[in-house]
Amino acid sequence: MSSHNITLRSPVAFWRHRVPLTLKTLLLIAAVGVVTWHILGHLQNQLITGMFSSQMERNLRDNFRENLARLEGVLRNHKQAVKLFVGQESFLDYVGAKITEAEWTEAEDRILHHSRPPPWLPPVSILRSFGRNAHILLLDGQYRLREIYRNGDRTLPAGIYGELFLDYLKAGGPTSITEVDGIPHFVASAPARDAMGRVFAVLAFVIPFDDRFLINFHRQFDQKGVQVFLHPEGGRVIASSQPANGLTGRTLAELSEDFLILGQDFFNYEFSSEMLFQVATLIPRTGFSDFQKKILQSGRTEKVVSAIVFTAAFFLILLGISRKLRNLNRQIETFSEQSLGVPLANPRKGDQLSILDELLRRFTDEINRSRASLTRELRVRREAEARYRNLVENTTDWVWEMDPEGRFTYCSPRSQDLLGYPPEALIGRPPAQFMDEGEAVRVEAVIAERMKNRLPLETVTNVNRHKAGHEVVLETNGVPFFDDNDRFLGYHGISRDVTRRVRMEESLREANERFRAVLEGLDALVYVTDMETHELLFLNEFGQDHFGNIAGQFCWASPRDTRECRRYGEDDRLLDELGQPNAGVFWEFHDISAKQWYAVHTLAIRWVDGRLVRLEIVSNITAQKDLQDSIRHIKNRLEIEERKRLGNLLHESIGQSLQAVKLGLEMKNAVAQREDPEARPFAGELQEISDAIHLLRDITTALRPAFLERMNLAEAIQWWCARQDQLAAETILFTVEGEFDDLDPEVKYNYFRIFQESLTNALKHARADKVEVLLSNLPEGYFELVVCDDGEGMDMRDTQGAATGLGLSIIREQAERLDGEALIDSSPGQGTTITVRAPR
Amino acid sequence: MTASQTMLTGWISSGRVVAWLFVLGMAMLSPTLAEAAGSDSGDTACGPISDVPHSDTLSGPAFSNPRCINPKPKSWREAPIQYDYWAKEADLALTLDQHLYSALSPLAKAFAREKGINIAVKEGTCGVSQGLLNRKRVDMAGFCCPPATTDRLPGLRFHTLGISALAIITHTDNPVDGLSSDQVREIFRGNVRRWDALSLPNGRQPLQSPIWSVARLHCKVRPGHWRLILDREDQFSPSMNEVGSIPRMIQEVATYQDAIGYEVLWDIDHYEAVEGHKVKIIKIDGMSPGEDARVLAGDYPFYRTHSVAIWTDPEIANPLAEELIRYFERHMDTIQKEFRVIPAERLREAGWRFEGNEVVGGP
Repeated sequence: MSSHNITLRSPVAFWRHRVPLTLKTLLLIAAVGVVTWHILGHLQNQLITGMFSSQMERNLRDNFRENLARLEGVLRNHKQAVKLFVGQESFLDYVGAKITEAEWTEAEDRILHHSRPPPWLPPVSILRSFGRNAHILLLDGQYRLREIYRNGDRTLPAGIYGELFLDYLKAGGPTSITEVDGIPHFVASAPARDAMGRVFAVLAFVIPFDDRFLINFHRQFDQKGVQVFLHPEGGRVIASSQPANGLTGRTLAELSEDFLILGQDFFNYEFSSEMLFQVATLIPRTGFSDFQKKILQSGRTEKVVSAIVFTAAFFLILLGISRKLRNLNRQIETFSEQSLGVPLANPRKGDQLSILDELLRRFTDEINRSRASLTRELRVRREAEARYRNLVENTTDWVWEMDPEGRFTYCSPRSQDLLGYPPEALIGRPPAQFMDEGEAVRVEAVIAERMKNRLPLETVTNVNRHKAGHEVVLETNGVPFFDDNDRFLGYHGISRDVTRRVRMEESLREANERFRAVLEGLDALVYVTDMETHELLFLNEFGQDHFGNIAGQFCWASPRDTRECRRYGEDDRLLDELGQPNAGVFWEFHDISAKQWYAVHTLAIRWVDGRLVRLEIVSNITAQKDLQDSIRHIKNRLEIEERKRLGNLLHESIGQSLQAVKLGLEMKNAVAQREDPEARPFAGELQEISDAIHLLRDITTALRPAFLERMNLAEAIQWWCARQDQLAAETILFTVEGEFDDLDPEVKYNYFRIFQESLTNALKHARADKVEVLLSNLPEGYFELVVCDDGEGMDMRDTQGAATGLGLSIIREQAERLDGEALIDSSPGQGTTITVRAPR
Repeated sequence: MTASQTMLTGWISSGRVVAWLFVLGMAMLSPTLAEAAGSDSGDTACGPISDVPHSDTLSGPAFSNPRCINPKPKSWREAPIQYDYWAKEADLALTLDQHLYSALSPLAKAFAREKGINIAVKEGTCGVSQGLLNRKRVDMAGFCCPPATTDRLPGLRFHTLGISALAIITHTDNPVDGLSSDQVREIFRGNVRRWDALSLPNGRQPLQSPIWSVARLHCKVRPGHWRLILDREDQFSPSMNEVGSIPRMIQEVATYQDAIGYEVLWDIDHYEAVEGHKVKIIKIDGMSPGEDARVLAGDYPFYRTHSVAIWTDPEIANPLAEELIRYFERHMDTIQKEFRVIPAERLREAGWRFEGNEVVGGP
């Protein structure tokens, strides 16, 4: 798919294809927004600055005009106040007294100064309101300065005392602004006249337009900015409402850098000012520009919020469009993948419009490519269909298809052979129509149940009625099939003729039934277990009488112990190398506690279902065994008696005869010696007869060990070892452990016989130098006899099973008579150990 | 610009000032008219306070003679209480000055809820209280100053609820932290005009500027709190700056570095919280106005008195008013901390002198 990848070699291509549409548009909006924002901001700034400046200027000028009006009002109040003060009684009384008492003479030119309100003035509370800034001068009728009330701690300018100022009061009064020592002063005066209209006193307010005046004026009306008085010459500040700012002495040109200056009018109160000066209000530019900034910034939050809201809304719309495009792209991809089988492998991220463009191009290519390959595939498919049809129609199985209602919709021609009906005779009909009534009901139920759960039909055996009338057993398998929407459309499957197999299975089943009947009839325990699972598959009635109906249990190891699974040792011997059953195993089992003997025949067989099973037939052979024991006992007794009889016979007949012969010969020797003392004419015969008598005595002793009747087994063996040891000195070491009294004579005889044969074998056949004999009465309830020699030994493989040597056979036979066992361990050059163990 | 300034400006700038000046001139020319206009004369029509029995129990300019009753004609005496429009449906009508209104109106409402009655409360001033009592429009009236003789109407009884310490305040940048009571008086008298005329402890440099003293000489007819600074209006400096309202006082002191003024502690707290005007409270004679014990002991010299007046004449007395006073007295402790009011009960304990329920002298 590498050929489908969008080439992203250049930043432009990356921008076009990989940058998401939303991000791309947002970036563009942001760029345009920022530019527009600044342009609009600039325009707005200019506009607002203009409007603000204009409005501000207008407001400030209005404010300034109000301040001028207030200033004029204050001065006017003082002007009115001075008139009222002149007319008050206390003033008139005081001045009248002065005139009456002639204190104000021309010669008396002393000026009385007051720092507290003098009696010719009204109370302080009134003075505070109407003369708070004024120095108040009291002059006599000749305009001679008589008394001065100095308001506050300000020093009076010297010019006040000068004639020029006093002349001004006379000439320019009563109200005006004049310059005293370079400072503008407001002067308001009122004469007191007598009835004739003559001036007898004058009261004058002198208010210096200094810092203090402006501070009071500024604070009284809570004015904005800084109020200043400016000298007309050069525009220097001569007083300000904020003297601490150091404005005094600075020029307008200097102040204009820091302040917006309003006013500058020449202040000419009532057009009677003698001195013109400028009144101005200074607005600090910092405050002005801060205020302007505040105005400019006042709507910024709203604008930012609006921009964010607009951008967010646009972003959401774009996001929606982008998502729709992405969905469309996915649908095209899905369609391509599902319909054309070709994944377009388009990038998931990036400009969805660009992706759509690329997708449509690839899709068109794939459509064209698919059309060509579709034509090829159609041809191949038709060929495949023909092959498939041929296969279906020629297979030995019947291929069919049925709808959800269970009616055939397709049948292969094989139906003709199986049921005798051609496909067209079956199509549209349910399978049950070709079965007997009972079978039809059963099969319909099976099909309905499987169909309901949409389960496959698995090995459904059904008996159909051939058109010719005979039964046809079919084995049917089918699977449900569905359309693309997972809607159940029915089954398709195959049926095959299993009539013959079924018949054979029935025969086999019948044979098995007969076999089981035989097994049930046996007077023996018969059971069958699975060789793998140890499941008890069968237990005949004999067994059930003993153990109950325990068929079906697992790990049924033996008829008496179901607690654990035991692997049967003989299982391996039941099967040959190919795992097929062989002849089986026969063995006997002696239940010591129950004193019962059983004969067990175990063999592997094929069970009815074909698996390998273990068949075990257990017969109680106790009676048989008892009989055998009786026979053996009798035989033993007979043998003993016979040996005894033989011994007696030999002793009494041959022995007596030999003794008689010997005696006769000895008598003949004695006769001969009387003639010749050295003569021994029968010495040789006598020796042979003596050997014969001695040999005969051994034989009779062996045949008739009479000493066993007076000795116990240990004593007899001890006596015999000693007797034999006289023949072979110090070759036998006998050890006895336990008591051996009260032993049954027959048992005692058998053990002794085993010992005799073992010892004879060691001494005579194996030519042993040393023989060790151990007789033990074991606490487990057994007698044990061990005879061990260092003789030549023998190869036990050569002796196994064969009756090698009469001695070993006798040993085994005697051990069996004791219900015991004889173990013979020997190898060439390694001696022989014979161990016999039997229950007490 | 405050409303009072606007009004003053309007007055000055309009022709009305001429009329006012005319009245003023007439008042100056006529002592009778001046007295009628409410001069701050401490003496009354019934004589100076020293003429009344037990005058030795009265001390200082902050109190008037409680036995000096303003005479009223018979027709006035017989007139019933008639509620104004704002109290038409009320069971009890009262007006409270701006201090007591804030402190007591919640208590009055709580009392009304407890009693299940309707109480009409109107915010006013001492002047309003006096006017409504004089016109018999309320059952109870509150005063932030001790009553003047003109307030002592026949059948009216005053109850002192408590006192508040008056703080001397400066701009926060002013290095002055404390003054003597004499220095304060000299400043307001105008004899000390500059800050640098004062020597500060620890070598600190005072402001190199004139003193901008601000005074609010309200209730001039009453022995108001400012009279503990200077007894008479004319004793204040001619160049002193008089303001008409509490916020204006605090604003000016908070604005101008060279300013000095005074207000009660609750107003200082309130306007700092409400309008952001921050001022410095300086110690007087080494004492802080917040030291209640020093105020109670009479050591701290400046305070104002809060009292209410109710009718005692059975013809017009409202029993609910008496109950409400008891209710206020029981709950004075609850407003003590917030409104910096020292209850009358503590004044009694501290040995302040009372005539009936009215405090008439310090300890």
